[in-house]
Amino acid sequence: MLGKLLKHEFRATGRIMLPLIAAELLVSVLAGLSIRGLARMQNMSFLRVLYVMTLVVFGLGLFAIAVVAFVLMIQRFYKSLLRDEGYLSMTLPVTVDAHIWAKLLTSFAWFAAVGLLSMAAILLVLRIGTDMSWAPFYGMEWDESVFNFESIGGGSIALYVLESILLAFLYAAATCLHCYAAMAVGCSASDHKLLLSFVAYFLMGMALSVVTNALAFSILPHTDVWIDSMGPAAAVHTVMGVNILIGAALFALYYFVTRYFLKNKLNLA
Amino acid sequence: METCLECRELGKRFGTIQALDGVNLTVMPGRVVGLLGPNGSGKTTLIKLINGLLTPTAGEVSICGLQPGKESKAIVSYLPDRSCLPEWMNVRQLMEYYADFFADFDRARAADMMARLSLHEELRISQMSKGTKEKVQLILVMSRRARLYLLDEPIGGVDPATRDYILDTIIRNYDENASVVISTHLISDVENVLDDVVFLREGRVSLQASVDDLREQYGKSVDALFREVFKC
Repeated sequence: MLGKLLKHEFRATGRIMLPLIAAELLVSVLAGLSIRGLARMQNMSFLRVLYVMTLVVFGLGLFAIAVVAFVLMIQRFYKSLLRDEGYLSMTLPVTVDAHIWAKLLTSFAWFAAVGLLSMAAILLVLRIGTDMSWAPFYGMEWDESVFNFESIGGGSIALYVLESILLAFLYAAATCLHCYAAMAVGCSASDHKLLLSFVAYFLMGMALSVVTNALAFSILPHTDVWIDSMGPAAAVHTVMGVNILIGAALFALYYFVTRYFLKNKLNLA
Repeated sequence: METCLECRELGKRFGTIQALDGVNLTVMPGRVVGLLGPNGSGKTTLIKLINGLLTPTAGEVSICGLQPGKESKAIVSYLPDRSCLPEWMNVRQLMEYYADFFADFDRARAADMMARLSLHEELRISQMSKGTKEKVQLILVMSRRARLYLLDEPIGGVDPATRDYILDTIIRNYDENASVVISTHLISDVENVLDDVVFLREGRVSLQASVDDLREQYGKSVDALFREVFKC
């Protein structure tokens, strides 16, 4: 059933995101042409203003799409599970876990799409607006030194990349689940659901901040000797590993709160 | 014969408010049951509990032997007391949605009923009037071959012609082995289609009987009896 939920979730969000992405790619082409036009112009003119405006729209467009992807992540969860549409979606023969994962994976896919769009749009602007060619990207040979982080004592770049991706995934997922958990808690009340969702968001954030800071202050002073005894690479991996564990704990905690409240405390208005 | 629905000592409390208290209810297959009571008597709360949209604070619910959950939702067809259809979807997408999630959804039957109402498949929910939305929702719900239909205020807030259409659609489309629970306070309109009635007062079942027995025992219509029982 997760596949079917994903299909309909992409349909619901794609009708908003896809036209925006297509429009931004079009604006990228226009922004590239604007850079070329600006390079040729010497004096101030209406066309020059238009070129500058196109570049501003390009920059704001990228920012706006990222904001829309974030707002959609919140709005889809709230509207389709906790408001009137919840009377349909929460009576589908689907588990609460499938609902949460469908929302989470769809949001992630759009966040990734926005990231790729940003890179593609900037490359497009540079390619059209300057004399940069695609050639450097073809057959590019990696310098062997890239694979060794000498400054931090060596180690495999693949492991650093893997840890970084895992870290980014866990913290991004925890950020989404923090919003989901707050909405699930706030909407379990009979009144003032939206206000209580905001309150729940800040209270959960503050509580976890206090706990993590307290743990950090009580543990960190005793780790100096231990950290100093290991090599730089091992120290970096250890710090990354600890952060991954914290990210995983946040993910699990917010997931559990969201799941518990959707399953046991659902209170559709 | 296995019961379609059974509630045992079912209770639901919201803070200090006891919305349902010790509700015992049994619905047998093939019966059309009227869940009757004034506003605030607990009808919607009871239906939400059966659907798993609320968790009881006491007692239990059993739908064809199943606790409310993923499996029970596959055999219960639910019409809520409000429009719950995504406004951006059109009729075709809605039928696809139902067909994807409900194995018992009869798409041909739904398409036929939509066509009879001249509802074009590309028509969006946001373009429909309130009455049309209610009809579309009812068509989708009644196009399922469910074991239990839970209809919460299906005729509330619609004109008399639409009421007739809704009641006719319910009676024509439910399977004879399935049960239908209709929650309403508009008794005179539904009385003729009911087999049994359940009177709900302040969260408690005050009466459960067949319509024929009631008429014989009290010598009056269910509507007249309701007005007498719930007289302010």
